[in-house]
Amino acid sequence: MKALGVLLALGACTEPGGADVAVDLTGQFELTTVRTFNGEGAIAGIDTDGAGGLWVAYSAPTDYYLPDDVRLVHLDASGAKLKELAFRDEFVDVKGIAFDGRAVWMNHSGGDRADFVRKIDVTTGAVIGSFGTEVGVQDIDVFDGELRYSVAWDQVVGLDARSGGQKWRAKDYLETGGAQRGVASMEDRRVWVSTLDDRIYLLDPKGHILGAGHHTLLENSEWGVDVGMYLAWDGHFVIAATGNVISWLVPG
Amino acid sequence: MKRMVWVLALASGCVELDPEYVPEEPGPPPQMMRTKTMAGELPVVGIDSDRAGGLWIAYEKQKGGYYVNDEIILAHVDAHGAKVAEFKLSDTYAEVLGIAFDGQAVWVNYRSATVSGGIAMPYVRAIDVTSGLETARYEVEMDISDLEVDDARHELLLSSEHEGVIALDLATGTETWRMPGAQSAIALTDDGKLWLASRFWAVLELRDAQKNPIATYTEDVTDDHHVSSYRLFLAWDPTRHQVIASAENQISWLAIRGEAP
Repeated sequence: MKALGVLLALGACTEPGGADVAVDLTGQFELTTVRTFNGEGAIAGIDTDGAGGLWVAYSAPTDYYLPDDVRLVHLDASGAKLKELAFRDEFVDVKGIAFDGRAVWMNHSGGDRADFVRKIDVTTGAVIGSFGTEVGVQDIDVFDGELRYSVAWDQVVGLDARSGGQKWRAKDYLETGGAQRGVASMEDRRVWVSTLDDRIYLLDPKGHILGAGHHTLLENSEWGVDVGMYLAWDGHFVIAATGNVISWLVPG
Repeated sequence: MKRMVWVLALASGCVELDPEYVPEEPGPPPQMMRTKTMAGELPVVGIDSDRAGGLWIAYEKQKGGYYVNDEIILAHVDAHGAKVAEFKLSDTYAEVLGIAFDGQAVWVNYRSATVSGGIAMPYVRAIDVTSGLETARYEVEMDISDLEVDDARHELLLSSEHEGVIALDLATGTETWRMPGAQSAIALTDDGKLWLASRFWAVLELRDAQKNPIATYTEDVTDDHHVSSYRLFLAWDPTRHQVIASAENQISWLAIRGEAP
């Protein structure tokens, strides 16, 4: 109930498609947590639904010899569940989802050269497409007809969402040694990327670091531990999911 | 059926690229420039040209745990990337790496397999693309990582990671010649030149019909630091006169920078 009160209080400032934040996002800045939401389980990906709500992927292990259970849940702006779709992970972990307005892209990344993304019709739950992917994709995003991958070793890759063909690759802007995780695009082509520490970085459309936002979502002892750090952007807030907690961060 | 049509429709298409794509990458641009790209529908374990602008692609699909035979899917896509045919094979517990199309059959390379009682020898087999049936099978050496067919000489070329290029007579499987080397993937042009992908550097080497080196070109479908970890396959597109490289499930048509495609 308390959480609902917070959600309602924030409702006025979480309208979809809002203009880009006006604050200066160059150099060092703070990312302040203004809202949190406890998920139903281990979160394997998030994205905004374009209407103030979220799509959330949960993954739960089953027997070692069986594929894990994956649930794709649609929450409205108040956190109420609107829809749930059930899948199996096909023996490759789910790491990141992206919503393109009609379908959810689900990334499967296990590091055993069997990685792929699949496109899921959110009305029927049917798989309506797939692409094989490179090793190391940790989160995905869709923006302006592009499917974007965050690759662990500090790369962001832009693909044509229709063919899966690579259009561009940004790299060498960080040296985390494999700790890059989340990706989310802003309306003006700038890109947020998260790492397993206390920073979320903002890249310009040319792949250069513009700024770094400091946050406190991870304890220092968790740095380098793969607890996930999935990202979304709703026009005002950086939304980050780690473990089973979703946090709304305001930059400035 | 409706769902299958959806999958076919959505998995189709290629991207024709501008010569200079964004964002900026550090360092000088590679000498081999991507002109067209597409992703495989699933993890790619081999490609070859269909000689009409399209591709034969081999996909690997995990079907279960360690003790379950994975599925190999041979897909034929046209010049626009739309799927026009598909065959499903078992991987027979062996790793599939590399295919080649001889005009009638797709040759599939099966690396060494763990079987009851030890290690089975690797082999190649031909799958007729009309019937889907196996029409030939030859035992081959270890560490073959890509295949190519030489129509003019009626040979199957094996790219060996340690023994170079090994040529077999297509009809009998008898070795006809070999060339030392340590490449990972090969492609033969329609005028007999050979493209070789280095196992150690992000470089493609071009040799003439007599196997003499012509030039080497840097590429960016692999990365100098990790070339040996890529599953890389080459093919030649006679309609675009470009080499096709598949790395990490991304299929790219490459032209030499500065030369008009």
